[in-house]
Amino acid sequence: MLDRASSFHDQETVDILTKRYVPVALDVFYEERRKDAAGELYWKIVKQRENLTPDRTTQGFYIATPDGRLLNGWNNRNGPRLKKRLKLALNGYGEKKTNVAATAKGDLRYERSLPHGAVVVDVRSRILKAAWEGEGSPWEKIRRQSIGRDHLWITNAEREELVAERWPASLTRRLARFHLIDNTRGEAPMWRIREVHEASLTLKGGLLTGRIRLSTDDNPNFHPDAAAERFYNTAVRGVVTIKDGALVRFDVVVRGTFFGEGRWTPGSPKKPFTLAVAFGLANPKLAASKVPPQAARDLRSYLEAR
Amino acid sequence: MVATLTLVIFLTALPTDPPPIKQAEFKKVHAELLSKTTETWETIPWGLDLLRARARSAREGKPLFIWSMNGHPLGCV
Repeated sequence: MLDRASSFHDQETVDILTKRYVPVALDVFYEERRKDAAGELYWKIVKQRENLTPDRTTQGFYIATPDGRLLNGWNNRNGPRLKKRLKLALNGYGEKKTNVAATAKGDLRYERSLPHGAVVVDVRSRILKAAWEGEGSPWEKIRRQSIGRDHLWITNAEREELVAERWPASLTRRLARFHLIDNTRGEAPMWRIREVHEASLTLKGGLLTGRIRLSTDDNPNFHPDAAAERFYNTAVRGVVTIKDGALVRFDVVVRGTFFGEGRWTPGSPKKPFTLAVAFGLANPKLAASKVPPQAARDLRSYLEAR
Repeated sequence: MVATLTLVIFLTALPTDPPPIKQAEFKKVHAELLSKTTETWETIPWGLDLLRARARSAREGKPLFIWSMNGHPLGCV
């Protein structure tokens, strides 16, 4: 992802943010919609950004005081510019230390927390092989190598199935519909249930094998010349280990031929390419593991995956 | 439920089917994508809650830095 690879690559920038700022990372989808104190503060800050018209995204970087006064706000990935603005805002920053409530009644429609007993799995995607056109600009080179990230939630009921050495069908559906996507360049379209043409996974002796075929075409043949807008024809292999009744290993690799792109993921290879998606248990101690799955914006749909 | 998912059953492999993943490839790709090495941006102590961040900002006398994206910056995209 461009921001991560470019804006925060510089160690001095990282040091400034770590020592002299209070950094917070937010998903615009939730912050723009929530009708609570957090939503009010978010809008108060972002509305002060220059040239922010109602039709424009509030994505970006914002430097603000705790009472919501914007010191600087912009939407650009330029690393040196970020560092310069971070330093500039610190000059003369003289807010007094005060106590402000850390919590308030939240808008439950936009609260997302891990369901009881559920397990968080890291998901990473990457294009392994592609016939790219030309060498590409420096930005394109970053995009071509970038890793897409997300989390998979395994529900308590599914975890119990896995402990009993059974692979739950609901997990197959969730994995196929919401996680076998090319999100290496941004927010990628997910799959409708009718676009899951085959999903056969077998768990035997801790070894997971199978294949999943996804296509927007009603009668796919997964050929480069096919009319399909998008397809992903995959092989699956994994290792699921249970120890003392607990899920201790969930390593899965999905690799196959992908074709197409979405509205927010332009710039894909023009011919079918090899995309891999890997899964592994997340470290619950890391803050990033608390970030909900992208598809959990529609929580019920995500969990049921029907 | 598996039957529901198997909307079209391919009884034979398609010529365009990818080969099965063997053990060596599995290990290599998994390690490559889920490398435990920490990237620079991951070392920043990102908060995930704006109100908690504001409280800390006020308490410590430091400005807030907000990174907002459509799709969580630390998660998807």
